[in-house]
Amino acid sequence: MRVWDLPIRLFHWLLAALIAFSWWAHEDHLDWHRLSGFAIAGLLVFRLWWGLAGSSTARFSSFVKGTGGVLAYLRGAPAGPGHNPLGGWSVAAMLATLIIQIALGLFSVDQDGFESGPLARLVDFDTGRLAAAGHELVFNLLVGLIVLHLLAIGWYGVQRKNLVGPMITGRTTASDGATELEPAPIWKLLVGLILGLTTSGGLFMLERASSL
Amino acid sequence: MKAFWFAGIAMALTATTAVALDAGDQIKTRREGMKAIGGATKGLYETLAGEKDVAKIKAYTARIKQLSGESQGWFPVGTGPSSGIETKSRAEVWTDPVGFKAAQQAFVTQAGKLNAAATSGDLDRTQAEFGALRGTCKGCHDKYQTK
Repeated sequence: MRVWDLPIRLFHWLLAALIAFSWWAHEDHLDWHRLSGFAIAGLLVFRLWWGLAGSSTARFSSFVKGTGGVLAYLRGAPAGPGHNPLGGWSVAAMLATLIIQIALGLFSVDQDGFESGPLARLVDFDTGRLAAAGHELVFNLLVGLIVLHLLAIGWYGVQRKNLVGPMITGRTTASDGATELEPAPIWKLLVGLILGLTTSGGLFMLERASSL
Repeated sequence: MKAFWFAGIAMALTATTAVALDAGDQIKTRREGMKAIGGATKGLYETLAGEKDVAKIKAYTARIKQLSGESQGWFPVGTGPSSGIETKSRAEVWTDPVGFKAAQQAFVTQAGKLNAAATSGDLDRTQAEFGALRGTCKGCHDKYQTK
């Protein structure tokens, strides 16, 4: 049965690739680092929209559960298709961390004052340096969350539950009584694409207008 | 005899403390000075990329030129990592004084050229000299500063 729609899978793998790329580019290829950040910003805006209007397993209301739900899951309660209550919080934490990371990057200034995010001109040098320090700190937090994410995938793998395959194919082996994925209408996808592209494009234009 | 030793120890302690305080102040001066250069560079970059206000540009380049000259006094002996005070300056600043002073002089010279270009009012040349200035910041930081 289907568990992840195509937009979610594309979002996931593009995000993973761009985070790796951003890390590679952060020292000597800041032009690329900025572009990668703008692309991630667009992906995040799309994901927030998809969390409200997307297919059933993408929606925050379907996977962000209270402590009761998380505790029940930990005690062995079955979880439906999509993120389980624990994984749901992992997703929420990664998304929140990425949003903070992007925001800090937009205001960051390098020590020599030549390289900066497209909103850095709104703040003074010291504030921009503080944003850059935060950007570095939050990156470590992000790495921690990614490591947890990979460890969890390994943990479920040991228990013969493959989480990687479904994120590629979108399909998982049917479990009893599980509800089928409810896809979102195409117009909602188009709205999400417009929101995401506008975000990335807007940041790109801002960057163009503020660089030598 | 006892008094002599006490006096000696007291003097040694005072001297050590004085040197330590001094190094701390000097490192602070260096850090604040470098931040001032960064602030002026940021301001100049934004002005060149944006409003291109010549008076502002001249003020920034004059400031960078002045600070570049001052920077030659920001690295006294005893203010490196061996001082025990946190600093991003590497020991190479003092173990390779010829290389360091050359890298620093390149910055001072380039800051002068930048200011001359800005004073002439030629913004294209100012921007070119500004690009070259960036190379002198990086040239010194890559070699003589910890990441």
